[in-house]
Amino acid sequence: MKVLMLGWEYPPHITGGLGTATAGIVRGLGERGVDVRLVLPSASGRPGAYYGGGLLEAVERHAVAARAEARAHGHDVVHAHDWTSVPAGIAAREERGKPLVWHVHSSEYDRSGDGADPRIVAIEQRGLDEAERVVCVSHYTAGVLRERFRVEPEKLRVVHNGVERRSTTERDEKTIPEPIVLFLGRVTRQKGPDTFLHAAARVVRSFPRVKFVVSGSGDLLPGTIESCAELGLARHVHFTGFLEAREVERMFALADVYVMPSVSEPFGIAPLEALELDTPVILSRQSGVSEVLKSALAVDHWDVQGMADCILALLRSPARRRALARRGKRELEQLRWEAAAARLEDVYAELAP
Amino acid sequence: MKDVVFYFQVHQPFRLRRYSFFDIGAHERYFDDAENARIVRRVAEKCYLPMNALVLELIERHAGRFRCSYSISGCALEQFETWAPEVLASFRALAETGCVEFLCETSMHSLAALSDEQEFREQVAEQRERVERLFGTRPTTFRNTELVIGERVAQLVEELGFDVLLGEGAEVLLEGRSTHAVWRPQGCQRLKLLLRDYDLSDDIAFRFSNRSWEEWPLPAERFARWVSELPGGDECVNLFMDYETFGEHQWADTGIFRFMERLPAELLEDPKLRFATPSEAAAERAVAGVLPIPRPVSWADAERDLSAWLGNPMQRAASEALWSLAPAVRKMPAAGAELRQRWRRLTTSDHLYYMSTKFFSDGDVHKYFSPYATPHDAFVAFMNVIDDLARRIEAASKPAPRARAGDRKRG
Repeated sequence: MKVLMLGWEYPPHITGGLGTATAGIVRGLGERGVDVRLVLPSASGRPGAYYGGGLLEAVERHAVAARAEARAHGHDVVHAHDWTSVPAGIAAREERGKPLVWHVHSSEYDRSGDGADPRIVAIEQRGLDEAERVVCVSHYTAGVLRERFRVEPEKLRVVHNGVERRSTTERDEKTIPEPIVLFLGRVTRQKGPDTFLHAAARVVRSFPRVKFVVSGSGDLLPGTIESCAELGLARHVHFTGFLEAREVERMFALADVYVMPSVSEPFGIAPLEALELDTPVILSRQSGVSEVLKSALAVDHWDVQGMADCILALLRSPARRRALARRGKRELEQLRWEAAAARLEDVYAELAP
Repeated sequence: MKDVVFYFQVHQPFRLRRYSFFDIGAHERYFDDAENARIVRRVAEKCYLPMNALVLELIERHAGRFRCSYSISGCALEQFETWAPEVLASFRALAETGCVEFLCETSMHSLAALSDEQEFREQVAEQRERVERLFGTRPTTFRNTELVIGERVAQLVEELGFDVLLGEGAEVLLEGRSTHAVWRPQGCQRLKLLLRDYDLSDDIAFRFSNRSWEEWPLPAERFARWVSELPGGDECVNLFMDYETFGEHQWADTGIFRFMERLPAELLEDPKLRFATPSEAAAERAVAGVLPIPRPVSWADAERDLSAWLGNPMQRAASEALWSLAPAVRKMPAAGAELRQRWRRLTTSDHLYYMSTKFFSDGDVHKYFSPYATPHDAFVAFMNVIDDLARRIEAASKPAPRARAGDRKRG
């Protein structure tokens, strides 16, 4: 089986989960003997530069490169990730007439809610129309697609993401005695930083010896920092800004509770990484990962009080934290990229037996 | 006679490192020594040394008829002692002429007067001693950080025994009264208040190099004529500005040094004009009246209020966190002196100024002076430092643990 894979970002230069997932999938498929040829938009591996100005142009350039690649090398299936590779996927399929799998890691409605960019929505609709199969990272995402787009349900397949095994899960020695509650992700509307902050405000009222940490950057970061000051949380909430991969691990390992309060999270790899480093997680129910982490605490993203209650319950009971982390980690064993790769191979086989 | 009173402010803060969350509890190096040394040496070369040499020459050339005054913050003096002792020596040379008055302020260029009166008194005492030790005279004129004055501030300054206070000639304060008279702040018995003529001061400090200003380029002769032509006979024209105006904010190639070199001679052409230090100008004049100061006034930004330091929630939260540590800082045993010194360095108003989110014309000024990319970065680093410092203060305040029996046996 030969796969022409069209991605957008790749570690170490990643802005979100897409790069991590692409790397996991490529490795998982490789181990199963699938011949994957991955095309990325920039040899320098700095795709982050494309977000913002000139993004749509970069997406079109990606399509030109994909077509050339398809012409030069044979393949059985084209596998494109997210909207940024939709034109590339369609171009590659046109070149050789091989079927297209479109893999949806997130849709414009997850990222931007009602502020969705109609140009991007149109490209996503085209992906749904053109692809022979649409792989969703969760049932939650499949639901969003059915609800927001025109899609033939029989095209949809769900393949949950995985997580890499760590060579070491040693935790750094704690430098402060208080428990740490962590938000880690892009500080954007989609990730729900304001819910985190308001939950923090309720927690500190009854449990003042705690630190909340917001790790990541994004358009809501300045406003989030200002809200923290306004809510009287300046002594309780700390901000690290964007963290490099190694610092992310360190932060997960330092944290006692990881909270993912996303408004809409197609999957959410970060909670898996937190569990890998023995940190228990609280999830938004509006996420794909809550389908596979049955042991984790889950609340609706708008439920500030519910989130505060979950955080408090874990802060008050180290034993419960340890138990949750242990149970979550057992669930991780089922969530390896090898398993995701096997499911993807099944999807390929449907199209190119 | 009309007096021209020059007061130059010399200040350098102890800038912080990008102290991160990971540093809390792990590293206690808060200040960016390398960057602070670099900046002090750069400004020494561009401003302090050449300007001090020029002022010394002007005093000699005019046989003592050129006179001026300086306030040098304690944090600047400390940094000169460490990284640029030649700057300190050149200020001492100016002191020896007897034509230069050295003023007092808070040692750490802080806004303690508004937040913690006890700390204010201590910082003033510390600075007073340092100025006397370094320059040989006990200061009698006070200028508060960023020229912040209020009725309570004026009372405190009077209680501490100062004769003269400097302030901003803000419209809200004067409501049409003269900025060139000597005033008494409401609530004071003896203290005299000299107010900055911000038009003339800012012609030099801000507009001098502005090519779209209709008076550009400004020759010393024209500026001297403006001063001569001011109405009234017995007045003092108070030109208060940052010393870094000369060579640092206005680079040498703008002609700022040539301007200052010519200015005394041009002014002294007018027999009714002379130079005076603040205490000389105040001593010669009776107060024109009592001046109410209904709310604190500063020399910063268009608002002339406290909004440059306390205008947004980040600044107010940071200030509150800082001052909430004051009682614990005072309670620390003697061994905590070094921690106390570090806390004091955080009281420097610049740390709050960096957090300002004013983005219009004044925002540019804020940005120019800030070592941070954004005001939010400034807040984040400051709060991390406060967190670490609070832990160390708490630890230092606990009585030392007694030796356990087992330890003694082993000894």
